[in-house]
Amino acid sequence: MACQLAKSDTSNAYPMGYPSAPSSVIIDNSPKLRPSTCEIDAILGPQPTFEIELSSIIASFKTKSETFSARTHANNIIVDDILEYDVTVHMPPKNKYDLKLRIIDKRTAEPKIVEPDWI
Amino acid sequence: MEYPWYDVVDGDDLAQGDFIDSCPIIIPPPSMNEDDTINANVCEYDVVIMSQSCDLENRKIDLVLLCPVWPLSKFEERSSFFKSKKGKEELRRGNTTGYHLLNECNIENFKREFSVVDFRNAYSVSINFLIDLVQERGERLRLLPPYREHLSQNFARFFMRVGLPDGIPPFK
Repeated sequence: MACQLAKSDTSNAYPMGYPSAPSSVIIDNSPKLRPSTCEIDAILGPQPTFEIELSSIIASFKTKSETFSARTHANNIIVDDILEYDVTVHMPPKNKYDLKLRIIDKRTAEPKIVEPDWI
Repeated sequence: MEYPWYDVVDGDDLAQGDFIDSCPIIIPPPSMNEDDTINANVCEYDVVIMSQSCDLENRKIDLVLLCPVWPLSKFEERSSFFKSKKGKEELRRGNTTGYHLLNECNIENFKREFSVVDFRNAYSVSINFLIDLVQERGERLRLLPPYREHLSQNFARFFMRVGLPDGIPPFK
């Protein structure tokens, strides 16, 4: 597919590089990750006008995205730093005393209904 | 940009983040009947209001949710973990389940050291009782945004947690 695009949309005077993004290569379903010399000739034409930087022709598959960096960094996080501590401290009340109370009323509680505002 | 942690308020407009010192919590006996005279335990706690301000303002609740607040030094006395630098640092980072650290306060007459909110021992008291109490007491300290929201969110995180069995054995 990349070769077809190169032939139809690119002039011989302006060489198109082989797709460098790894995803493009995967979609291509090509078992070969590097083009052969004749394929490069077919893409670039016999006499390229400009000097060719090889890195744009031969794809580098070393991923350098932020995601990759973050994942690498995550492996370096010390496990101790991400744990939660479930420590319980039983504190006595600030002050405590007894009170004599007379029960003046005893009843079963009724629910307090709060209707939604939009009704 | 720095945000102030506290303000001093008075009046009966209760809000989330209001501090009420020595709030009495009545612990009733297991059984009681009308016209009985009973001995009830009263425990006093310094508390912070956890109920949402809008529920308080619109009187959508009868009971106000309160959490005890402790000076950090009291916590240190009772826990070697919190006495350690590591424990205090984890508390500051929010990695200690059920506890939330609040900054010290330097407002005149309301000075307080770093304090710890205890989410595990929440109480509810009647809103009418609480309004009468704050009116009687006068000025009180109030936690300000965004630290109020931070407290509320941390409480929600504590309350929503679910302990589930792993189900999958560890890889060997």
